Amino acid sequence: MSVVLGVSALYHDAAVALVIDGELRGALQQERVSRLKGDPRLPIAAAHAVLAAAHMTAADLDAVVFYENPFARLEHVLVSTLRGFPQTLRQFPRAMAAQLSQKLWVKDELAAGLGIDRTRIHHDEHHRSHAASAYFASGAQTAAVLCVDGVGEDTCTSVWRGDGTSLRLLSRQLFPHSVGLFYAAITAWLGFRVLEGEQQVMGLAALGSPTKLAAMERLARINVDGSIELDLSCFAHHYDHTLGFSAGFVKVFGPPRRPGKAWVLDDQGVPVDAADRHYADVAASAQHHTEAMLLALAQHARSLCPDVDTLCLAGGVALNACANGILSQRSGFARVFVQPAAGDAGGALGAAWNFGRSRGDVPRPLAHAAWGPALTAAMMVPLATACGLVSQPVVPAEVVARLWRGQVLALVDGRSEFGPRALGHRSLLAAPGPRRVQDHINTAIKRREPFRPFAPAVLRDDAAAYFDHVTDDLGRFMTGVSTTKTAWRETLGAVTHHDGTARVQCVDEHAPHLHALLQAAQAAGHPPVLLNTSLNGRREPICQGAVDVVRFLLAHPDVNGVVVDDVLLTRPS
Amino acid sequence: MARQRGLRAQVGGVAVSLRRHLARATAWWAFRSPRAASAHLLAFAAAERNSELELLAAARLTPSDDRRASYVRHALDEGRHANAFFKRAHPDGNALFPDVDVDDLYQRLGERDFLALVFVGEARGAAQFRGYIDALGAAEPGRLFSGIIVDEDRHERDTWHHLVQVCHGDEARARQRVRTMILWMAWRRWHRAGRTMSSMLYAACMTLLFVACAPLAWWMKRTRPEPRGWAQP
Ligand SMILES: [Fe+2]
Ligand SMILES: [Fe+2]
Ligand SMILES: [Fe+2]
Repeated sequence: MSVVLGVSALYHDAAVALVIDGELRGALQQERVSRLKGDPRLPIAAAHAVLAAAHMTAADLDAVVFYENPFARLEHVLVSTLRGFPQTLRQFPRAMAAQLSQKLWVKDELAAGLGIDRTRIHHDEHHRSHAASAYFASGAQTAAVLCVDGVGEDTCTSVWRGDGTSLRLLSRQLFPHSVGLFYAAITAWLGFRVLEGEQQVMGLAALGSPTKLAAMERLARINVDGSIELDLSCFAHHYDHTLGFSAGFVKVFGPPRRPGKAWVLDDQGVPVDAADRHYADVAASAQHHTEAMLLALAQHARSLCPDVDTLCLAGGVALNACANGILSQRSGFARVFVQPAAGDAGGALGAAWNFGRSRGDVPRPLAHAAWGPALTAAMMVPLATACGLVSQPVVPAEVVARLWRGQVLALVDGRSEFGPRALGHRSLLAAPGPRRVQDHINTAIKRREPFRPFAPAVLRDDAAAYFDHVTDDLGRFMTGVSTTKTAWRETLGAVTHHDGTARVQCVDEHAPHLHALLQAAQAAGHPPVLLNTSLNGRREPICQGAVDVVRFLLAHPDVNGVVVDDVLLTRPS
Repeated sequence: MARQRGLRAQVGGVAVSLRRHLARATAWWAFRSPRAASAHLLAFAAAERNSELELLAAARLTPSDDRRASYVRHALDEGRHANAFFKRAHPDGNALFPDVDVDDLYQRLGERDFLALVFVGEARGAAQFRGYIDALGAAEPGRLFSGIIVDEDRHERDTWHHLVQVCHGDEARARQRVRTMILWMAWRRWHRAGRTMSSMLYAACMTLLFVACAPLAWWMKRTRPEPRGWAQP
């Protein structure tokens, strides 16, 4: 029996997770409160927000668990920089400054920030935290667990076996041969921000053809035992992590794309510029090869756990929904499960569960992703009115009618989602077709690349009528990609990507308002499908509280209103 | 407006008018080439975005509904300014918005000193923009500054109003907080310069230390070579 706060921080996407007797009670990323996208800073504000939502204070915590081992991380930094001598000359002062000024003292800083005794602060290990966050969230009795990310301490990939409440490490692959850092290099070379732009690479990949597969295979070799070996002459992460890729990479694929350069596509979604078509082909090849690497890793996991039929994935690479879709169809496992906060944010949850287990708690599976502080109409209307917005009562049928008239509406429903996906609690909704709806939201509201796809939210029981290869394990948290049935691709044009795929969310009563809207759409004779994207503008974290939502509506004139509970907020006409 | 100028004269007036003169005198250098102008405008874009984020934090934390709405409106203006500066810096849109940091000023200073700091920032910003308009005239980016300055003057007025409000109507106290914040900002600048210097010194020392570690590196390469393939636990 324990009250544990898991914490992930100081690398990317800091977060906290409050677990009581094995049950998740609240979780929140620091970016949602600080409003800095992917904020890695110690999530003290997020911790206080989660505790307050649970009517608790830090004094009620039995333990605070940091998701990785700061001493093992320091050792890794020392060993890898010395090993890379003299190429690591530039990296060494920076890396040591980061370690010695903050990362090594993270437990003291947590104690000071939360105002609790240092003896209550513990640490876990990075991949063990990831593994727990995936396995225990799945509810499986036994499972193989595959964690794939950039690097955590010194580990890049790890395979675990979960049995009941036990979790055992079976094998791992160490730095620098990392699938996550391979993908990061591609991301940086394509001119996107590393740790943010990976989704852009995935979207771009659908526009190209995998014509550079042979070069990719040389860049990241898949050994017969499923391990990965990078051609380090093409990468830079082992001697300077700020560079991403090396001159060797440029020799193979040409000069990198200029960051921020606009993408221009023709009617068929093909880049107009020949150089951009090359970049799309490299993205397609990298995505294709990443899927091949993950299949090989899954096969390795299978060879270590031949009697197991469930595969759980975690780590930053597990946010690659296309690869998850492929694994679900071809890895040989009957179930492939990915929880909503598969990246480092989820490590906070795993760390808390691991500590609870050591005190005899039994982790409970995740039924939904809504674990952030709640937001209601009563909390929003006073500020909205003071800022000049108009509020009026609304019913689902009216919202649906507005959406099918071409309006774009924000939906706020209770507690916010944990992880990068909006699943109907902080969402932006539109009709699922035609395709120009997608272009409108991409250019006018999200101000992002025209090839970024939007996801369909569909009533769970009707998903199979519109999409192929939908599974509950990936559909529940929108962590995998399916295919839109050919007959529906025109109607669902705004939520079907150029290659016919769609990142489906299967909606049930856990997102009550979105569920009601889908039912109302069906009752009105439409398919029970809506375009659902996260409630945020360009490079912003998803909206959390009243201030964020009201500001969002006022800053985005192309959004027609906000639906919160049974209230519609609009700008005065 | 007369009241506004009177206020500025009382509260850090010398620093504010100095800033206008300085901006007028250095405008030729700041906008000497399209590249320099773009870098300068990007720095403004980042500063506006930073101010937007600080104001949104204040909006979340203030106990007053009235000020919450005011902070949201102010933040919206700063966000618009950030986008306008960014667009002017890169009219073709071929760039990434610069990375922005937040200092959690509301949390660190409390609402009264936060407002005093915002007031100083607004007055100084407006003075700097005026200096650029003096030097650049109606040509771009002078026109951009002229558009933005209207908002900045309003922010200055609103912020003063709220500052006096949180000082329970005591204007003398509000002026005293503003003077304290001017000193605090100078101290912060000094502190930051010191940190930059010490981090340069640190980097030099660490580099020397690392060079001295050459034998250790050689030993490390022999005893702990780069691992390949699967490692069993
Ligand atoms: Fe990780
Ligand atoms: Fe401004
Ligand atoms: Fe301002």
